[in-house]
Amino acid sequence: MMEIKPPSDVKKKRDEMVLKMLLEAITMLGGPRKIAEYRTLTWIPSLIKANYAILLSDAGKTADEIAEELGLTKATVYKMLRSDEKDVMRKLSGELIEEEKFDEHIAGGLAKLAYKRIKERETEEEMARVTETAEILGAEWAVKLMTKIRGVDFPIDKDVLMDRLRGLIIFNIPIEEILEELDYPIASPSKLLREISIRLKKRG
Amino acid sequence: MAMRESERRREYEVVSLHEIKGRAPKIFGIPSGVEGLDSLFFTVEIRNGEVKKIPLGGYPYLSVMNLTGIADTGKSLMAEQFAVKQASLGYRVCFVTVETPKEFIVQSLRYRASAMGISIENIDKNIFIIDCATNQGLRENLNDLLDTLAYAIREYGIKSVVIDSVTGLYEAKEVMARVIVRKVYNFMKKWRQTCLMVSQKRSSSEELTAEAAGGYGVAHIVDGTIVLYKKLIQSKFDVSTYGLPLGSIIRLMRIDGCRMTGHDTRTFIFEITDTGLVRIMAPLNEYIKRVGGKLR
Repeated sequence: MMEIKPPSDVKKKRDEMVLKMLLEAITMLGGPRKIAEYRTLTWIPSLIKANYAILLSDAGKTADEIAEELGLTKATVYKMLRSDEKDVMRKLSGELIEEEKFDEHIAGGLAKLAYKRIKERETEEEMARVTETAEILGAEWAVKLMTKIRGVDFPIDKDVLMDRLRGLIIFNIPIEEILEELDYPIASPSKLLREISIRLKKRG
Repeated sequence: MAMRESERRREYEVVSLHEIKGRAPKIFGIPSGVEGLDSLFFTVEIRNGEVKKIPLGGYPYLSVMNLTGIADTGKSLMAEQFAVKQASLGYRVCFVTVETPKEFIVQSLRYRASAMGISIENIDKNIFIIDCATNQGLRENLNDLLDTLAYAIREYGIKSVVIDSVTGLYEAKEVMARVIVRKVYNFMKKWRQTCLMVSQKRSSSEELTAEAAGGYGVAHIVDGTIVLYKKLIQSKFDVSTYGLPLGSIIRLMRIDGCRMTGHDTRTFIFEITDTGLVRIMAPLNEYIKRVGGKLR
């Protein structure tokens, strides 16, 4: 049995992620030079609140709880959480947004996109790191496996992994057999490799 | 200008049955690990104009059930049996202990497993513990607890949650009971968990009634309530009714309500076996008919 302890610095980590998301959103809006063209930056607080709303929702909070924590109305939180990222990106399309048009919908969309991009980048970076290590150690199967799962989101479920890895054979063992034995979801690429490696060792 | 349909929906959150039908969960049973309990929940089918009860085989999937009773009635045993049974079936369970520190819960769960004939290795990797008993911060700050629980569900693929007891989360702030239970309930629904929460009933509450179901209106929030009760045999009338000697105890159980499926509404007698397992024995009326007037 395993004990799950509360992350002691969950708020600090959330603050750090909000800052990362803010920088990502600024990059999406055209970078610092473009931002410098604004006379005022009254939308920054909205964007930060939208960042918190997305992270709190991801942590399992309801719209009511998020509204209470951020001092917003429930309707505002809904607008942020249900914002359509593609629609927002279309609206932006490289143009400077007028200050008064920068509403919760746009803030929510930007926050969602920023979060998605950061997550994707983190996964990509971890994959690159793991692949490099596998190459150095001469674990060819790990390199092949990493190439096949490039671009997927973690934590990952069995169905997605099966789809991506079907047909792969490691030391004469079909990957499907190994995947059946794993516990899902799997949190990260390195955990996936570790679990597969344990199963391979068990089979000699 | 008329508000566009998509904008109206964003603003007011009105959805039709048609839109959400795909998200509605299937109704089936999650084995409780308590002998005799699983068949007391059922669904109904109409075949050739006849109503037929189909046993569910456990607590309704994705339900939040409240297990309540006065002290020493077997609530925690039932909660542990559920956790052990689910873990033995390969489903991951998060056991939130609010009363007993983790070391003792581990020992208790292992003991329960061996009494149920389940190997300890089988349950060891599928039960995860959040210890609110020793961690005051978790016990007193519900947001921190739910954050930790969300992390456990996301990272470890938890399928069911046991909270023993939810009463410990509103100790000395009973006025907050409904707010806390509501938050826990909403959380379980959002994360699609089957949840068994134990709540303690004051001995002054009327026994085995809806009012007795946890108190503070908790029963109104959850999907269903099971009330456990023990009665001391202390009069000649009790002796002749229950067929038990003076000074012994008869244990009673009733499913007080379940909004997700049908359930047997009768009062049942149950026992706690020598190995510490709760076992439902028979409906009270049938039992009295059988043993009334005769000492067991």
